[in-house]
Amino acid sequence: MTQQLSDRRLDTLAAEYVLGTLDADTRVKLQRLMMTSDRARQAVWRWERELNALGASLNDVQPGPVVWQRIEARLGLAGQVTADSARAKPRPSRVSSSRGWNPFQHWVWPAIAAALVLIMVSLNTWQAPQPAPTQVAVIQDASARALWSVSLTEQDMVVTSTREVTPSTDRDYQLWLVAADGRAPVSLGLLPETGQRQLARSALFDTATVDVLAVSREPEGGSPTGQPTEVLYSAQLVMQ
Amino acid sequence: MTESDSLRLLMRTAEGDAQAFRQLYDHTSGKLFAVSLGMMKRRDLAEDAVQDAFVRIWHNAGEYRAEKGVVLTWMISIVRYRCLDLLRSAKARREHLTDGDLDLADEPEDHATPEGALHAGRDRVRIDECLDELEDQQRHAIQLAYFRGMTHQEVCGQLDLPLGSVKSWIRRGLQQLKRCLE
Repeated sequence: MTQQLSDRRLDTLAAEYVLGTLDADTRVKLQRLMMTSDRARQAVWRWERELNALGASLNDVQPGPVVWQRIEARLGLAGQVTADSARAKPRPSRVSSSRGWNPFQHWVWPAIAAALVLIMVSLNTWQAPQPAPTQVAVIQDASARALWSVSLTEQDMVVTSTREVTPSTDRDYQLWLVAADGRAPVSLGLLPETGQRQLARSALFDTATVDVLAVSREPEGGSPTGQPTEVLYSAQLVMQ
Repeated sequence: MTESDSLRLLMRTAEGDAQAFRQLYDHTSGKLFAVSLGMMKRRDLAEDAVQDAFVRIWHNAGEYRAEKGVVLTWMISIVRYRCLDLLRSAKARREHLTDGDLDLADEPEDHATPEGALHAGRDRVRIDECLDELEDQQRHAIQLAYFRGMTHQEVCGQLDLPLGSVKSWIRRGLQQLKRCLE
């Protein structure tokens, strides 16, 4: 599939891509084309706009509350959001009182604020504010320079790269779980080459005994075979 | 909720604001679930797809572009692609099924599925005007593919038409839609 595609043909492919009726081969080819061709992207986006107006016209059906709970758990947002906050009515910005004593005189606010700060400080020292990482692994190179740190909590997995990682444009580093039971390594995702990245926490952490985490060097986009191409490093998870 | 409200919530979501994300969820999850339920047919599978979609929306909020549509249609794209993926892998599993495998795609549908979603239970939108101009079966084929996530093969089973004609009908129908929409 190249630039020789006529506008009309490209447009029909884009429409069928969005509709979901393209065969697997053509779908993959169009996805690749979208990476490099603005014309292809625009064609697909135009159909996404038009056809998905049909989906937007459906009447709402509410999913069960468990859906949000799972999203929250997967993203590690638990505790940051209160369920009813979104529906809470905005409070009146000014409080007036016709009674003789106004409890909201301006001197009251600093006093309340000070008291709240005191309460929050004491709460913070009394209970841990954030769930602490339960397990960590530090991935080092042959000269024991730390490259990445992996922290695994019950909700998520966060990988932080150090300055020792040399960013590369033509290859990626991929993280693998190697289980003690001898099964093939399971991909945990691509490692960040700068900064931090949150990876989905594999359910295997709960069901299998982890031997080590391994890092492989892969072509850009990750392993083409689903298995590590060239294993470079490994590290053990330890309880923090 | 106006489009600028949605956009504001999406921008704050891109900045990692969980509260804004929750509000966006409250306002849009009913729509995403309706789309997903029509395709997956079972509440639990449809809920899984919505869950995956919102995880993706959280991570990709910064990649939204106005060219992809309003915020809601962009979010619907995400859930629909997720449903299509799940349906395709369920179908692939079914083709390689061995005894004792649990095949979700063969499980009975939930009775709660709104069977009328194809024609009833929704508002008419601009594209409906153009769909009306198509022949009945052509329109029906496109609707089955869109709302039910059906493949060419499944549409031809449903409409009792040869595979070749379903393919060309859908293709010609889409081309005609495009001319109408322009």
